[in-house]
Amino acid sequence: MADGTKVYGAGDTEVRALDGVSVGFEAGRFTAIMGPSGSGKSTLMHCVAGLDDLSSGSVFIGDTELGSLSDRDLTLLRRDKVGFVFQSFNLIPTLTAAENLTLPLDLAGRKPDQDWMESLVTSLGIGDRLRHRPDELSGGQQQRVAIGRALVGRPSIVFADEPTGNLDSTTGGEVLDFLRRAVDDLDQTMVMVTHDAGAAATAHTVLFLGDGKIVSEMADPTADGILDRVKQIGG
Amino acid sequence: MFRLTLRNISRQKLRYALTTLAVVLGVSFLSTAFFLTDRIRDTFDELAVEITGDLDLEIRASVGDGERVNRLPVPADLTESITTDIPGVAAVEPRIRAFNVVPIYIDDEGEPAAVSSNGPKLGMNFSGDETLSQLYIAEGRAPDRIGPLADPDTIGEFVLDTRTASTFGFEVGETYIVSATGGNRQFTLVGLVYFGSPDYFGSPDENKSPGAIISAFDEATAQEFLGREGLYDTLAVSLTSDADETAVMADIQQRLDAAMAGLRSELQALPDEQLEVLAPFAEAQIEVVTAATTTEEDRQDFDQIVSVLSNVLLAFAIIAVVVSAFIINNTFSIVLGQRVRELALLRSLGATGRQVSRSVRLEAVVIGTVATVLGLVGGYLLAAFLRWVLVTINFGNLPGAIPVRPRTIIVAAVVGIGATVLSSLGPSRRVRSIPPVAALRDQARLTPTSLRRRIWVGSVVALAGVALLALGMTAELDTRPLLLSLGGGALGTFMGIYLLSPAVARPLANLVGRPIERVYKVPGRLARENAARAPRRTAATAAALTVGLALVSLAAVVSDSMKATFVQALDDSVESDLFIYANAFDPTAGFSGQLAADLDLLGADRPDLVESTVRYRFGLGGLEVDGVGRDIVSADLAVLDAHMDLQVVEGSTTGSANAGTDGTVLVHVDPAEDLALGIGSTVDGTFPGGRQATFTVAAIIADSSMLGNWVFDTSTFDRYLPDAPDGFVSVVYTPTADMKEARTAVEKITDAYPQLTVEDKAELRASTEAQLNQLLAVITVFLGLSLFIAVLGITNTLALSIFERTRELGLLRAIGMTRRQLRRMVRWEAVIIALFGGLLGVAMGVLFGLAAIAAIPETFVDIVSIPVRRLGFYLLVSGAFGMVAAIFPARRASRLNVLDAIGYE
Repeated sequence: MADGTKVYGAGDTEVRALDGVSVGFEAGRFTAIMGPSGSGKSTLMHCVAGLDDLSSGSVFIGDTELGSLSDRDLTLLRRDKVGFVFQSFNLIPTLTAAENLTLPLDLAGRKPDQDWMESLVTSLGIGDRLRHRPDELSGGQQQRVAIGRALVGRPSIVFADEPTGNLDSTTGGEVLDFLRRAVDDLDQTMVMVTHDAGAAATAHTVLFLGDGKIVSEMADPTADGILDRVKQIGG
Repeated sequence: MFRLTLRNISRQKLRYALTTLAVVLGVSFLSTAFFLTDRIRDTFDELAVEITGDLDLEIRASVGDGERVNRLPVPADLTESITTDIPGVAAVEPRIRAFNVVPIYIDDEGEPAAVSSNGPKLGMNFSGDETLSQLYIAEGRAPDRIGPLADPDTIGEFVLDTRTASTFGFEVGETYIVSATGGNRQFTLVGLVYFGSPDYFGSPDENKSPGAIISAFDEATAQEFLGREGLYDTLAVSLTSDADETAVMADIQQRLDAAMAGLRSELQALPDEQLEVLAPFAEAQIEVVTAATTTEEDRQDFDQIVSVLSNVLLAFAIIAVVVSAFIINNTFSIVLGQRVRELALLRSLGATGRQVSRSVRLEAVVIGTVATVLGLVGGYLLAAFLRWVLVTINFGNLPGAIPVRPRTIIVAAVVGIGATVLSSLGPSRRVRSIPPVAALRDQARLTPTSLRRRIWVGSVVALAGVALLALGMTAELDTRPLLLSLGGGALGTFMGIYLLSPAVARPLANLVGRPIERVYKVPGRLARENAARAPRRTAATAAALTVGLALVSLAAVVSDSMKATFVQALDDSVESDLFIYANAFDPTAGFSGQLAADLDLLGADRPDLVESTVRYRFGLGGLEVDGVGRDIVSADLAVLDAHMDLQVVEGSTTGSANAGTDGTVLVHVDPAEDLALGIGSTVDGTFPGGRQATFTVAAIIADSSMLGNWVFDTSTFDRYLPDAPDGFVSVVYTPTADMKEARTAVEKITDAYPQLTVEDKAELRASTEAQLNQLLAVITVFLGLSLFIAVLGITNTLALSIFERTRELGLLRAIGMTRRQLRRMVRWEAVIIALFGGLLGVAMGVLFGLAAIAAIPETFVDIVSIPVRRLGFYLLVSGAFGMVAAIFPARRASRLNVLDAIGYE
């Protein structure tokens, strides 16, 4: 993203959710975005992922500039190049786990790569749950299916928005492990928004946002290090 | 609580707007039925007064109950003593009123054409009496006597009512042919008249006739031309202001009785010519009645017609209301389901379950009230529009304001508010059990009634319904219990299937959705899953469509079977080559016997072309046998076999009469069985005017579709019902004749009667089918109104479902579903729901159709024919309705902002 600015409202009620942010997410790296509520971290992710548009500035995924795309092209880009994992309500309740998993491919009318599917299912440990519907799965299983769905199309980049926010710490840990492994073993580019220092510590790099600006960056973070930094920034 | 209720309604305008619209439409149709029939009834009531005019007393032949069609005229000789010389009598106007008098004009293409109208085509005498005449000159002058019509060179004069003249372009001063049952004759149009009471003399600005075509002549010409020589239909009497009505009536009655007694005593001594005219009156009674009596009789006659119309309209309106009720009920359930958390919050703030439940019912009352008011306004406008349509298509004239009766408003309010409140009872009861803690839960739901209990109750109701239907179809019941068992059975079956339908909604939706999924992949699959995931909702949404389609299919099955029966009857019984008729659907429409006479002449002239001609005349209730007025028909029995195969079971159509009887009769097996008649048995009957006659049964016939149950020879009608006009005529060509040449020769004669239709067997079949199709089309359009409401119901449910599923839709969009795919998904969900409703509806319609066919007499429907292609078309249409219903919700869904949708709570 180059010089990205996002403004909500106008005049007195104007809120600058993003204020001239320039940032790049390196391929094959796991980046966490942290910041207090209202710091603009979700807006940053939404804009980079093509869910929202910038007031000014530009966003590139690969060589594609998102601002110039129509809604249809943006949708296709999300379908083919971007994976999403949300905090909750990730799955379509009427479809089975397997159907949810391949949904982006099915929407595109593409055939899933069977080997790739199998290895995904095996490493996610959901092989025996594939025929179940979401309401028959635990929260952790649901999130793992969601991660599988995000990865199934081998997207350029995966965005995870508080993926562990609704999980207990053990299950959350498993999910984070899996995200990290996807980056390390599969060379997947991953961006995660979180306010949990422990979760952020899983990433290669942590970006700290405050008032719509990147205020700090930390490589190879630890949970304690992150907490210290948060204290420094936020005061 | 009340303020909260109002807030709820105003805040969720869209949801409630759609609900309200359903009620508004239902109430509109209902009130339109009242408004329109009130207007029609008023018009006919006014007409009943107008027809009577300003007379005080009427002198006429007496008839038994229900024989008014066959009232005899009054011999002029017997009323010679009824004059203004009688103390108290101010004026006497002899009246002649004949039917089937058709003026002929030259149309735009230069061809002679007959005036057409849905009203009667009347011929009258123009008396010019200042107090009693109902006709008054609007333009030109009164008709004068030119000379006896016996002189073929005489061109008489006539006047025509203003509307007929202006509609068909008649001009005063021109000469026209008028076709009456006595034959065709030229007359010069000397004036135009209004029909109305003499009050309008001097201010002639309104024609009070609602649709009749009125031709009038001077008295002597009217008598000659309209077959009333030496006769009047009635005499109108007005009294002086100081007269004692009862005394004058007694005086007149005494004079009439004396005249009748005189007639009877000297009947045999009369010269032949006079005897011929007076013989039918030997047994007749002549009475004098008050204006109130005749007005009331006319009113009752009209009332029967209006009641039929009013009942039909009401039936359609009730269907519309029932359909609306389904939609309201469904909407309430869904909306309340979506508001569970909000209602639970109220509970946690201290509202009792009862208060919450009451607030829901209050919402229903408010919606019902608003909808009733809007529906009444809409109904009034719709009635005004329909009246405009009726007047524009020349159906008839309905002057005056549309009456707004308290009854209309009360019924509309009871139905509108009642249906809404009733529909809210179930959901409002369930709301009561919402626990306050539901406010904190994410996935709060209303607990629906258990499906198992529903299936149980549904099965019982459906089985009871089917049992009643079966009873009606198989057992021999009287009309009332038959209709009751069939009607109750149909309702029970419908309610049962409605209760059961959620159980089949999932498999059926899956079945319907499977092919769609094959074509549209993921959106198709999601559409199918969405339609199947809430079977109760799918079933309730489809129910409105089911009702409509069941009725349309019912009509299709019945009319198709009627058509098949008719075609079969035509194929089986009709042997003749050509048919000539005035109006196949009006047994009182007749024409001159001159036509048949001319065709006989043609047959004598060109035996190489025409072998024989048969004239058929109808006497509705024309013969009383065993205390019941029977509809009778006459034909030339000597040659009938060549024209029609009446499926003689026993005997022969040309069998001879027993000595001492007055002729032969062919009797259908049904009445023959009832009255224990066999070949050679005698039948005693009474003709109008009290004349008794005895007939010999010559044949028992099995076909009643063409000529009915009682067929006599033409000579019998000549003697006892000489005024009965020809209803239709059939012609058989000589076997060696060139068909084309023969037809041309016949048409040269029929050309003089442009009011008649000439058709061969194939054409007759085609035109009858066309008429039945037209009738079906009209019924379908009316029923289509309920389908319109059903579409609203699907739109409403879909919109609400989409609202409910916002997050899911956002997720789909986020992970790459295009807007188009999303629209497709919503659209096909609607199509699946609609097809589900359509399938159930068509299945039920066929079932009900079979029941109805069992209930209809075999004369009309004997063969069961299921119009598969038409029913398939209905299914397609219901799918298309689903698509239409989805337009708005699909667009709304595809325009959801992805981010807002994901974040939506």
